[in-house]
Amino acid sequence: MIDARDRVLGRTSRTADVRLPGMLEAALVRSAVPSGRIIGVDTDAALRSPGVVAVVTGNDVAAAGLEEIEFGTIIQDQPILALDRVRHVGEPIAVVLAERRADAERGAALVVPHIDVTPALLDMADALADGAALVHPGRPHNVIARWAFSQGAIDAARRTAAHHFAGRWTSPAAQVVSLETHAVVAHWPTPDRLELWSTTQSPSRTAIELGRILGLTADAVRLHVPPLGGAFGGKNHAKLEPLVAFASRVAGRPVRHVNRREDEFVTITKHAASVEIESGTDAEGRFVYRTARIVADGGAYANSSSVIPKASGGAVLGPYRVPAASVDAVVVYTNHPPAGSFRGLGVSQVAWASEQQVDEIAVELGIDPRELRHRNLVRDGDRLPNGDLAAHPHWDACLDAATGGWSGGVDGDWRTPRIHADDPPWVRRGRGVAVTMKATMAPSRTDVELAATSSGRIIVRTSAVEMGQGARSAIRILAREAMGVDVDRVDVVDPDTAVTPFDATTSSSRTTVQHHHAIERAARALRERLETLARDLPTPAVDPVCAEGRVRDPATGLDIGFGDLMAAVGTTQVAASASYVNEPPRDPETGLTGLTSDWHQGAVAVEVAVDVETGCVRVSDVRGAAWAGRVVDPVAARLQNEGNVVFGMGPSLFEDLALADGHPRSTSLRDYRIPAIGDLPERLVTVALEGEDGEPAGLGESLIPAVAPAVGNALAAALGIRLRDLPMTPERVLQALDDRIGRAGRDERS
Amino acid sequence: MNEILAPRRLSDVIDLLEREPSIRAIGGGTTVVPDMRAGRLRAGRWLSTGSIDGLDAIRLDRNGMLRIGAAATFANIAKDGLVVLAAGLLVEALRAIASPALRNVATIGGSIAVAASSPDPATALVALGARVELVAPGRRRASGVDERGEARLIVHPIEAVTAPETPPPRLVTAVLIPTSADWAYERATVRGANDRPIVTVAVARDPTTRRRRIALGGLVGGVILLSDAEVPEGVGDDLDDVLRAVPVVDDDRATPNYRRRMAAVLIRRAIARLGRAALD
Repeated sequence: MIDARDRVLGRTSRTADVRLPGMLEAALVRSAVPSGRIIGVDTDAALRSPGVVAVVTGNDVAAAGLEEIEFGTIIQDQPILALDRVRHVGEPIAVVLAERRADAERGAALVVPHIDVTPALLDMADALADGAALVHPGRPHNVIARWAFSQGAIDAARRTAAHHFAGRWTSPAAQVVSLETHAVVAHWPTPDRLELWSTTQSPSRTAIELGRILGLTADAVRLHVPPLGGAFGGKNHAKLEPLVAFASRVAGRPVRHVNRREDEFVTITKHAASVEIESGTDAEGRFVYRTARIVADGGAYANSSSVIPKASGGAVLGPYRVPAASVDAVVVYTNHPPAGSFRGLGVSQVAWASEQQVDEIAVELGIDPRELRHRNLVRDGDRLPNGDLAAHPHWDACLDAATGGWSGGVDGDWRTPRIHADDPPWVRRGRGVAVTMKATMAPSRTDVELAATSSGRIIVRTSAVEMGQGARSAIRILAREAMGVDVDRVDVVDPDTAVTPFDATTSSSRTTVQHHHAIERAARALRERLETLARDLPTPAVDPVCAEGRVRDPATGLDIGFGDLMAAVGTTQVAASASYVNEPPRDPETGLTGLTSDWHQGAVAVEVAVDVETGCVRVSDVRGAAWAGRVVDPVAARLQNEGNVVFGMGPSLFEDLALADGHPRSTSLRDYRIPAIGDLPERLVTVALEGEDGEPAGLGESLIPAVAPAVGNALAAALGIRLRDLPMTPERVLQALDDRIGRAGRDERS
Repeated sequence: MNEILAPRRLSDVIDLLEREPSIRAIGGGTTVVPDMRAGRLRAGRWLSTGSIDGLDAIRLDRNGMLRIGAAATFANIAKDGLVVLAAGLLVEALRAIASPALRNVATIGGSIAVAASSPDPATALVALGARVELVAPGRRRASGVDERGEARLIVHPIEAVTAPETPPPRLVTAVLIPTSADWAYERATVRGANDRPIVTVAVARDPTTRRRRIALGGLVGGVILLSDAEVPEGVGDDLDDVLRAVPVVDDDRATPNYRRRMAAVLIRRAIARLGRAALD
């Protein structure tokens, strides 16, 4: 990563580091109840508190005529500040502005919201029940979004299937835990122009959204995004930007807000989900039918939940040939903190279910789980169980690459762990594997501008956000390839919506792929412009060709670096722009548009060492294979894959944003556990598989969803137990072991 | 507003405690700072232990006891050759705590004085039969850690589990540890590393009496000391008979049943390790 050293040494300048003259610090007054009507907000004591300059409430929003304004990614349902009611614990009710942060927080403690507490919907089934109160009037049955699909004759398939399997799996809410928390600095240079610094992953769309909310023209919002300290989906789309921008407008001064760690747990979460899958196979374990029902908890506001049903539903039945399939996926409103994008969007929850069931089928039928998958995986031209045609499927290759190191090839025994002589007698080992598919957002647009300068440098202007994933590094490499210059002569400008062009979002594992296409197009246009310049030379070039950073013309013997060329014609900068949209393919058979432009593919194989007396699961060996198409930045690709595995281990083993009466029970990293360095597997090997067509594919999330089911399958191989609920904590493992032993004991007695 | 006083001499500390009984001590700040940020502690006047001359010294005293100054950090204690030789149990317990960054600032005195959230140091010290040296207005004394509630280190017998009374103005200045080469340490966590333990078990054999001291942390607010007699031979699946009367902690990390069960498992393992060590 280009800025790795600066990041490690704390030299990277963040949004929270922005200081503006006259800037006020904000502290939020948040709801302490999950549901209630706001009777009033008493701000008198806070306003008398030393250093407090202003307290902004929903009344100010109403006074500004913005009480009808709501924001959200697709469904707009979130007010700038709570107006007449609160819908979740932690919902901002007031913003206290002070000269210093400590003053603001002291003032916030003095604000007294008067709330008439109303019954809260804290369970997905309750929220969906007939007659349930509505979190948002006008949203029937509390449904945020639903996606349903079916193909083939399910009932007939049920009758013909030789074996039937059914189960229900759950996963809890979680938090992405970026090292850098959400932060926004806003100020208004003039009453009709807004400038912000924000930790958003989607500067272009957030700027547009702010313009819509605050009644500004499209070019009146300027949004800067310094490099982020992690995001993982949690900083996608507008979060605190509307509130901070509005508070700054009310105060007439710049305002900064930086979330405390505990604020993060009520700002955005991962969707808790319940997944039921029923499957039938023929005698050889080939799927005859599969059905799935997914219910996900979207919390109090839609945020990006509207995309969840399709993201989850499209992936829940796996990359398998399933003649008869049906999916019903729904995301519901509750009075929990809002759920939104989380690395592995909507797929981790369903892969946990689906890939464990595939393993159960294999065990039940006495078939090697790898072999069972090979029997069922789609091949070129097959149809996926979501209706999409399988274009360029590589799951077989991923599966073999992940397990092949253990089996010494595609046929050998990969499942038997080698003997570890130093294992204590209470340790059992087992191996498991899982494959996953994940859609990328499509269609989505990326614009880039490439500029060549007379100093011989290439400037890439893009609104892609560097958040530690190595976006800038990949973009530099792509520009180098397209323009034929040394990578250290390529500069990538930080997102600044006044300067950098539109990019839908830096998420969905799309940035490298989108920029590959957009930069290639922009570079073609830029090379043509440079060639045109060569025709303006005192000795005009006849048939100039721009390549390898130079312009050459055999007819005149011209061979000049583009910087020198521009200096020769008196130009300091030549730029070209291009756009790329990843349109999903149209199915020639059905005429329907596919769910995505690219199904990201991966497989993870895991060995666990389980302490049968404590229930502790140690992931000792992980092999992951992700389809990369073409690796642009080998180091970043490896780090992405390894990061996938480690990130996936958290929700598998420890992470659980347990909510009690709507309150997160973890509010710090002392209680909310993400994997620590000491939890890393002793062996972690990943590979980014490449093809021959030179087209990169996204791999930023390809392995994450496979981690939990692979660990679950390894646990089953080690101990013969199946956990249905994440995370696989020591106590749950021990309970499952007790249940199995108890069951075995009963079986023996009977 | 916080005000931090940094006396250089212990006599100044005693004077300060006399003049200002409500002053609070701060060592590495690993408990005080989070508590203050979370609003559990108010700003005020603080007595910094880091400035006191020699308070971080580690040496053998005249009686052959290992004397560790209260301001010694976990990291410095764990890498001190004298401690490694004389109290390897404490080294193992301290190395298990949190992260290197925290161990670089957290002090042994602080962990004793505030009954820190991690029971590791206290469990090890109780098993080792450590004593705490305190200064208070008009006196300087060493307290047996077996005394009920003293410095929140020990609770014994089990029925006497209570919170200590409000302590008089005093400052922990050192821990005095009998040397022990025969010990074992075990801890159970949810996460594999950098996690507060659910249960800690330390076993040390008294070099004179050859009796084992078995300390259990994480089950209650303090540490439970079990004698040889209280641990049945070949500890079973649980310690119900021993622990029945104890109101075991129930939180998001583990149920009381799981804690009791882990106590039994870890005691069994620790005793087995101790036995192996003896054979070695």
